[in-house]
Amino acid sequence: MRRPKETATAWLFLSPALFIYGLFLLYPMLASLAISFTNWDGISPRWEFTGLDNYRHIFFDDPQSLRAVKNNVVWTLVTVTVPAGWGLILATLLNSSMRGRTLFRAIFYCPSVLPLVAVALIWAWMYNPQFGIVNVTLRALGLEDWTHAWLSEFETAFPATLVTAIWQGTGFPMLLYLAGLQGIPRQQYEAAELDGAGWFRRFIHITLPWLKETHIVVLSLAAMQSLRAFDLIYAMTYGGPGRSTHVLSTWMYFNLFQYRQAGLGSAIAWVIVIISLAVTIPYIRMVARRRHG
Amino acid sequence: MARVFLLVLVILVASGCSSPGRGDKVRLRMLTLLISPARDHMNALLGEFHAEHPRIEVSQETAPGRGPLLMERLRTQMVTGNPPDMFWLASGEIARPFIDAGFVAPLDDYYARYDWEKTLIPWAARRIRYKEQWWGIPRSTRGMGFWYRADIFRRLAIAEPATYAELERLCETLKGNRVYCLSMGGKFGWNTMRLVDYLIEHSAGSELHDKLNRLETSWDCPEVVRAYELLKKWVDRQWILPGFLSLAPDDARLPWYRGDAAMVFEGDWMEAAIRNDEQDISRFDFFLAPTDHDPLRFSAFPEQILVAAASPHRDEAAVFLNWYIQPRVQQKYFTLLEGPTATRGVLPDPVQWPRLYKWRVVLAKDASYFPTDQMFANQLMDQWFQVQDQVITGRLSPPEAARALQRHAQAWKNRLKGRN
Repeated sequence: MRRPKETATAWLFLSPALFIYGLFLLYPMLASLAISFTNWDGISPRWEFTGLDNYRHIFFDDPQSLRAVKNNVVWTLVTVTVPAGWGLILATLLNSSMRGRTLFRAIFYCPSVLPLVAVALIWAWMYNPQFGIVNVTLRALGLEDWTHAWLSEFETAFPATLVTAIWQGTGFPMLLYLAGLQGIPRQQYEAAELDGAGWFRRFIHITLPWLKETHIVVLSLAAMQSLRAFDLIYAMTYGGPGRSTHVLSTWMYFNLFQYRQAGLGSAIAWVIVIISLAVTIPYIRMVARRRHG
Repeated sequence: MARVFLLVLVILVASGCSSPGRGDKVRLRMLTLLISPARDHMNALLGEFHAEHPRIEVSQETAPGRGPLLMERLRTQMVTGNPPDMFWLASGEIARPFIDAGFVAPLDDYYARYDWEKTLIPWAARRIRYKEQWWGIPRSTRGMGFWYRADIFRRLAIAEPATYAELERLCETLKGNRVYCLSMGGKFGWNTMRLVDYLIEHSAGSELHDKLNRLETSWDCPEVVRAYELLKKWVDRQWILPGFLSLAPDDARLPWYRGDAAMVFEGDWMEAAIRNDEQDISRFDFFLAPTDHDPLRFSAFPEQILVAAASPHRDEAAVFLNWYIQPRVQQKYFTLLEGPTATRGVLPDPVQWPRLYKWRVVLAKDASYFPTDQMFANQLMDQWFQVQDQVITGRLSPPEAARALQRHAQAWKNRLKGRN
């Protein structure tokens, strides 16, 4: 059992960090929670308590908010699964002793370190209907009918941003899987090979089970990242055409800063927080369990 | 004893610093949108003011780029109780939230004291009035029209159109010569809005257009339907560069510079922009969009400088503003500060700034309409942009668009009623 003096000393040492944490993180968070129950416009000194109206509005009254939720679900599903799967495939290929594997690892990892706004601008140019490389290539291949104004059409704008997100998001899972693959004992594969197991069976029965913890890390991080998706959509489509490509974070920003609906914007922010916590808590518990044996 | 002496000294020094005496300087902060080199020219202007008014020092803070950054910064400064003494904003709906929240000082007394109305272009001063009061002083007047490639027009023997029918024929001629009539950047909505505003002015006329923008009449009317039919015609006949909805407005200039498109719908600022982009200004000119109505109105708006209600130095701010709008100051600086002046009778050198000179003559006339994004609150405006995009992409027919606009307008009016 700890002595009171030790406890007091511990609190004394913790207090500067706690003070900063409380002032710059906890207080704004609680303030935004309080604002989410009001109709404050973000400027005026006046506001009224409106209870759960903003939350009801998001889920029952406002088709645009629901559209943002729906887009976010699609965004999460795609950006969690596709880059992870693609990253796993690349990692498996690049884990062999092929020539130039270091170069390929660097090439595939490169997009992950680029700033998202730069990625968005590069891809917006690539999608340019007149001189973007996507349409120019399609025309050169005689596929004129396949060309689109990719970011201008309601049907293609959101999928086009998803392609960019996949391109940008594949490198990091690939890196994690590479690290995971290198932790698998070689003897496992050698023994399986002696027993006559082919490449596919070795992958299913050795690689995938050994990467269990890496899967959890990759998928949890991707899920958390997907809920914060903002930069790509803001810079590539600005939520358009119409408002068809908004996700929760961009919709929150528009409500908070453009429409002067700080109450509604804060409520959207808290919806994002609650969904994020649902993903984060199991992840943190898993990491903590692993650390404590 | 030494400690007590030191304490007394510190208190004396501190009190001396914090309480201004009669001869002390008043320091004012002004938030602008300027970037270099205009920011440096503004600093030179402020230095000149300070030389003439040694007791008042105005320092410049900048939120460079387009309006949203300035708005966010201003909002934060206002809400946290640290506003600049003066700040730049557009007019109309953009400034109103700050006025309604009580953050802006009315300037009626200063208008009377300095007789500013005599100095300012009348329509600019009138446009910034709100709730029967003046809340700012116009610093610039902006106008918009069709900027065109004069060399392409010459090559194809095309004249500036005097009627809407002639404009359509012009687009057909250009199309026949494999040149798009118009390049636009639809990404944020407002660039395309300029064309829609014009088509509404053409189909509805001035009186109905103004009523629509003030939400005093239904948007679900034949004139609005007609305007959207014309918009669809511009898109379907490929008079506008295809895929323009995702282009940023600045990027829309590229096809124009390359000669793929003959026109852009832009403002008086384009002469400076064309020069900055290292293009030959003699290849570019502009005409006002023909509306088939008399008088011929064009899209225009003033920008203004406002004074914070929380500023303890409003009188000194007014001294600066009065000095700033004087013709001799404006004549010297207005071409350097990214914006035509709002002061009467100030003209640039017609040889050095030929297009801007033309614009100044146009902008002195009292015949303009407000762009819709300066009439509507952001949220309603975004719904308006959404309808515009849906018409362009064929998701809404023109009659459906008119109905949707009226639905949004009515919902907005109901919301305002609920608030009041």
